[in-house]
Amino acid sequence: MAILKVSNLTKSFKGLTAVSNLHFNVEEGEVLGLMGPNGAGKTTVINLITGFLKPDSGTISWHNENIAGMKPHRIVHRGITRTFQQARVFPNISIFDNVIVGLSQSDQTRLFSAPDPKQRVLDILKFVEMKTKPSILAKDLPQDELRRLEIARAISSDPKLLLLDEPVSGLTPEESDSIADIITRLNKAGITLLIIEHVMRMLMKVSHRLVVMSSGTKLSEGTPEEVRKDPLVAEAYLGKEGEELA
Amino acid sequence: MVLQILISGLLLGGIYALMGLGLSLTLGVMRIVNLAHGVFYALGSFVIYSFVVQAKINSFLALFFTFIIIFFLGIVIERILLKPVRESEMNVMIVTFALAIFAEQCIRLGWGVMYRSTPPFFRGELKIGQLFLDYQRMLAFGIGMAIIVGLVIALKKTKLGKATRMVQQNYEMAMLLGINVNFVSMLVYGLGVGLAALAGCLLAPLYLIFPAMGWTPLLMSFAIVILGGMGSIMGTVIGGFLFGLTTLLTSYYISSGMVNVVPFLAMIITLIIRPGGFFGKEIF
Amino acid sequence: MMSKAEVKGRNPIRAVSVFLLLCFAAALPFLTQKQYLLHVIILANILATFALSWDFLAGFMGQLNLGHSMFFGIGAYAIGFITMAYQIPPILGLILGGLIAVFLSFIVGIPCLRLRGPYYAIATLAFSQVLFTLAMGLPKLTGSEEGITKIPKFIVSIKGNYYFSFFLLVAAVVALKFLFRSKFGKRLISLREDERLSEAAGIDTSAYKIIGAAMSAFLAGVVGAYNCYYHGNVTPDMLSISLTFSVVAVVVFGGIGTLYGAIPGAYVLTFLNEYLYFLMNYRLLIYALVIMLMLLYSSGGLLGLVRERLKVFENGNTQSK
Repeated sequence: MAILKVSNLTKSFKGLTAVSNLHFNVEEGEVLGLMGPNGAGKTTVINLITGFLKPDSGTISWHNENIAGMKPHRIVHRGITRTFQQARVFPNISIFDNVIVGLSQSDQTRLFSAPDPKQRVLDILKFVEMKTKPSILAKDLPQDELRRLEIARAISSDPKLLLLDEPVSGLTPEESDSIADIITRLNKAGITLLIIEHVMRMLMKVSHRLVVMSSGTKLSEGTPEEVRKDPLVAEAYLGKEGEELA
Repeated sequence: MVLQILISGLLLGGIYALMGLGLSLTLGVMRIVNLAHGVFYALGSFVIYSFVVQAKINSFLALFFTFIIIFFLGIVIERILLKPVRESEMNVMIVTFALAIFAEQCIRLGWGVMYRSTPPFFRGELKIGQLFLDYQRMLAFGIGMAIIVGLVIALKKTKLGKATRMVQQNYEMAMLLGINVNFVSMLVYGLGVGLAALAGCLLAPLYLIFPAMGWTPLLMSFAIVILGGMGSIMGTVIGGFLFGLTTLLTSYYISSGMVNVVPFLAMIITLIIRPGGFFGKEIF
Repeated sequence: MMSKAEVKGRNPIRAVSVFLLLCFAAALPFLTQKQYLLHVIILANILATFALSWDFLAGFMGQLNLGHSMFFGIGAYAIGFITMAYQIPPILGLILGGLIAVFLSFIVGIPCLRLRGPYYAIATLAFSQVLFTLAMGLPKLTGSEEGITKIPKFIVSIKGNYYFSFFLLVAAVVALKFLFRSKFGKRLISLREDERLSEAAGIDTSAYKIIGAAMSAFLAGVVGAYNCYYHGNVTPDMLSISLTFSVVAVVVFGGIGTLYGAIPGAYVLTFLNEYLYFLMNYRLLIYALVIMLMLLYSSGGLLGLVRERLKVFENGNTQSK
């Protein structure tokens, strides 16, 4: 069952079309990979879904409600959260505080159900395998811990759909695998995920399905095997970057 | 009567445009919020006062000297005070705020709190039918417009002017192209505050001068730049005229004490409706 | 390896020294005959409390409000107007002063919601100048430069005012400490850190900005009202840019965003002002000079410099510069 339906989505900036008549669905419980060469419009799509941009036309239907153009915090309350391309945290406050500001007020959270908010934060940090002490300031963190913190922050509001924008860029293969593991565990716990990534190895491994974008539109869609074989996809990549799909 | 007010308003507006242009330069090219812009206007008034009243130097000569002094003062300040704090927006605002207070206090200590008046460059007025156009206003307007035109030409034709415009459009690109952005910043700050001082000189004979006189021009300059939009000289000039008119209309129909209020309200309304101004782009 | 006390954020040395200071402060009126000293301390307390309210907005929420004196002043003028017509219990007066400042913060804050840093600074400066102009320009209403005088005092004795001014200051510090330890307070801080990220974390940034500003304005209004009661008059310079600058100077000097920094800052500046009265004329000049030098040298303020030298004052969170 599709929980998120993107239809006819279009967005331009001063004459440059970033997204054009985009259609795709996100099925409940899946991990959907969103890929495409640089400039394909992937981050714009996340910005549109999460309310950071208003589309020129089209609808974004979340559980049959059109959320296009809503304010970001409202969309978070409806169960969709995101991370950013460059890992973004609140630098001058502690790791603990970074997570608690977004913590869901609700008593019926799906994943982390300790009644004490402090304990819940610690549980979340444990889930993302945060190694640094919670009292350390976020700005002193290395890259992979930053990514973990971002994910922790994003899941603290108890989302049903989590959008990750390049969660492993800049990480070593081991760190990358660790994040991939977190993604899989999140998915097993019932969270639907949409992931933008360039690191193919990781994306192919975790995704159930893929959507390939190019120049603002959907180029191809299907399982990783299907997409790998699609000649259009190879052309889009080889034509622009020569990146391997293995 | 209305015609009189309109014309006086436009004449005043020309000088306001000059002031606004100075701010537009520091804001647009250096991307800093110079809260000391108004105090340089005040300094311009006081310095020319000293030249003309105390040293009894010819008004036009004094105008020239004052500009040179403030221009170089601006350069020194840019090097010492602004260059170190450039990256932090908040720090620039606090530093220039402190500078404004510091300079205002210097004026107060140097010249005293008494309201003073400066004699006009030329006395007398022109009478056309019902209209009285005093020479000072017309002269100030003329000089102001000449400077603006000169500035526009310099920006378009000279090498330095083109470099400045490039820095305004794209700081990183300008650096990559080998433009000495530090040098440009320095000059632009000196020029920007110099223009404020010029406006102060030209308007000094029309009003009484006092140490705290810089705040209204500061807010007025921001209002003009905000209304006119960034990067648009035409917008700034039109903004200047608009505020000149508003000032005079307020002064006549409401009261001269309320002169501050109306322009500020206009600016606040503009900020709410269209932060990008009506002509140019957004400043930030 | 951090000790348990450091991890928990409690610092026994600091707690004890604060306690001793408070004891000393409480005993002072009985130890000295100098009424003037007590008066200066009262002024310092008023300035410190007002400075706290500005640090709230600027240091914790990241909103550089350059018109903050308008909240202080309107609290003072509120008392001035009300007491001209009615007799009201002073505590009610203080609260009313605070509430009127809150109301003003809505009028100013709602239009300014979408304004980014520099625009917000200019707009708030403009608003406060409008109020200042009105105060100067409507003599029948506000008494213009002389203001409103002969306002019946709230507490008559110096000792009483001494303790009350401390009460206000300590209450403000305690309230703010609790606030910024709470989730609500941390959300306010997140606004300063990264507003878009706050939105992404589900925080209604507009609502928080308005409420935070209202809280800051309330404190400023209450202390402004008290200031009016203490002096028995209200004048336009309670709405002036100079007053705003004084608190900016105090907070920057003591360290923006440190909360406690405002207090030594206020004390140092008030004492310098009152006791070195041959410097009275140069007061603002010196503040301005100090601020410019401070910002060139260090942006942590006095407290930042002290922190680096005496690790004793750290509150358990490692702060890299």
